[in-house]
Amino acid sequence: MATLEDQLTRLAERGPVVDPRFVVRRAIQIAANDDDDVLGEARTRRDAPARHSRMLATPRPRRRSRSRLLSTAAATVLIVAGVAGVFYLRSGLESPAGDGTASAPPIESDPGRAVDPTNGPLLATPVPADVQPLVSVDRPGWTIAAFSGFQPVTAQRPSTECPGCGATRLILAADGAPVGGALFTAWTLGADHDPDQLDTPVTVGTIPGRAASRASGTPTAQNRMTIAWPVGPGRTAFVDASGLSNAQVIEMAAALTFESEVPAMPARPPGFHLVEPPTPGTVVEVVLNVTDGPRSIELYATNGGLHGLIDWRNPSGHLMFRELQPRVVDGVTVVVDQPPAGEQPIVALDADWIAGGWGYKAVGHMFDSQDEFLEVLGDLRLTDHATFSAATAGLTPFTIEGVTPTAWQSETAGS
Amino acid sequence: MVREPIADAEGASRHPDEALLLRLYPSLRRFAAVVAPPEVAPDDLVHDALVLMLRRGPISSVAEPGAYLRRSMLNLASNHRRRLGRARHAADRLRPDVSAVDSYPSDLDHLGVLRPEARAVLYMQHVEGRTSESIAQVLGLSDAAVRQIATRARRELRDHIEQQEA
Repeated sequence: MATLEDQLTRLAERGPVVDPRFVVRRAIQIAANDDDDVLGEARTRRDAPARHSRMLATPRPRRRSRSRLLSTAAATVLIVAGVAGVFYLRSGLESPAGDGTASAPPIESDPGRAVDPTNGPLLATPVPADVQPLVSVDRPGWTIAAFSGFQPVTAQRPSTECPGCGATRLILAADGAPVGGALFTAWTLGADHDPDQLDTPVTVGTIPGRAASRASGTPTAQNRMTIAWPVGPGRTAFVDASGLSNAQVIEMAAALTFESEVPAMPARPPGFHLVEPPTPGTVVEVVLNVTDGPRSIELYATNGGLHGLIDWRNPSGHLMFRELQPRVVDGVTVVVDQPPAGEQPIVALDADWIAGGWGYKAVGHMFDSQDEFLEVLGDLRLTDHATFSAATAGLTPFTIEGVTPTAWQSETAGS
Repeated sequence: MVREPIADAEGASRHPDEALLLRLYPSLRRFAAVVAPPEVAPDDLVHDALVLMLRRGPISSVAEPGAYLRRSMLNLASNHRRRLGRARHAADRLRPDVSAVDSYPSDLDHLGVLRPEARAVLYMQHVEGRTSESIAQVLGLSDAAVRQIATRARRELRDHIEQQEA
C-alpha cells in the first residue's frame, strides 16, 4: 500500500488541468458583473457544478464526472492545409429523431468532390484527420474569446498502456449516423475488479459478473449498461453500451474474445460495424471559445473520430456518459443534451458530432433554448489561416493537460 | 500533471488581482483536488471560491487570500458533498437497482470515505508539512480540533482499509 502522503499527493494532482488564466479571468469577469449571476444559475443545475468541465474531463480516471467550462468570449476556430473544392450541406433545423436511433446518413466525403478545409460549414465539412480545422462564427455579434492556438492542447494518443482509452477499447457502432445510434464498447483492465462496484449480478456466457444499468423503465434508446466480469487471473473485462437493451448487451458481451489486448468480436451482430481506431501518434485536440455577451460556446475538436469522443482522457471524451438526444442540423446528426427543465437560461448544453476525421464537442452556455444553441452551431464555419489569425490576434493561446496513461496505471494498479 | 506557471505579461494589465491569483492558483488547485468530491472538478471549485471572494471586493480587502480561498473551497466542497448525498439517497429510494456512480478500482478510493475537512487536514499535514497550529489558522479551527480531526481521520482510514482487506 502506498503511503498516505503519496496517496494524498496523487489525489491533489488528479484530473486534467485547465489553464489557470482562463479560470481566474472568468472568475474575475463573473464577479465583476453583479447582475449576471452565472454562479447562481449554475447551482441549480442537476448534477455537479458545470463550469470548466469539458476542459477537465474526468477528475479521476475511474470515475465519471460531468462538469464544464463556462467559456469566455466570441467567435472562430481552426484549420490549415489541405485539399481543394467545396463540400456543402445545409438546411434548417429538423425535428428530433425521437427514439434515439438516428437515421440520417453518415457523413462521407463525396469522392467526386474535393473538400476545402478552409471553407464551408463546420458541421458538415468532412475535414481530413491530418488537417487542423480553423473555425469562425458567421453570425453578427459573435467573436473568438479564447483558443488553443495552432498547436493541439492535448495529445492523448492511442496507447495500449491505458485500459479503456482510445485504441484499447473495442467500439461497435450501429450502422447509420456516426453518432446518435447504439454503441457497444469493451476493454480489459489488468487487475481484479471489486464486484461490489456494480450492483446487479449477471452471467456473461457462463461467467458470473456484475452490471449496472439505467432503470428498467428507461427506453432502450436511452439505456446505458456497464458490465464487469473476470476473464482470467488478474484480468477484468468491461463493457459500456448505450442504446441497447440489457439482454442485447449481455448477449454481445458473451460474443467477445480476449486473445489480444483489445477485446474482439469475430461474429458481429447484424447492423453493427467496427469503428476503426485512430492511427497511433496522430490524435490531437484543439479548442476554441466563441462568445456573444453572456452566451458562449466551447468547441473541442479531436481527430480521433468516435474513439476520441469516447476516450475519457480527452476533455471531449464523454459521449458515453450522458443521455443525449439526436437532432439533425444542416443534414448532420448531432447528439445534444436535453435542456434541464425550468433552467433559463440554460447553463450548459453539450452537442457532439463527427465530420470526416474529426469528432467535435460543443458546449453551449447561457442559451435560451436547445434550438438557439444548434442554430449558432450551424453558423460555425471553416476558415483559412490568415482569417483565423486576424480573428485571434491579441489572444494568448491556452493549454490543457490531461491524465496520462502512466497516471491511470498508477491509480489502477492498486498497492 | 500540474502545468508550469504561466508567464503573465498580458494578464497583469487586465486586473490588479490577476497576477496574485495566478501565483496562488497551483496550490489552490491541488487543495481543491483533495477536498472536492469525485463528481466535482477541482478547477470548478477554485473558480467558485474565486468568484465568491472577488464579489466581496478586491483581494486587498482580505488579509490572507490563500487561507480565505481554502476555507471557502472547503465549505463549498462540504456543501457539494451534502447535496450529492441527498441526491443519491433520493435516487436510491426511487430506483434501488440503479448505480449512481460508476467506479473502477483505485488505491485512492478509501480517501473518499473521509469528509472534505478531514482530507484537507491530512493533506496540509502530510503533504504541505504544516503544523496543526498553521492548519487551524487556515481552516478557522482550534488547534485541538485539528489534531482531533487528524486522529479520527487516520483511525477511520485504518478501519476502512482493514475492513476491506478482511
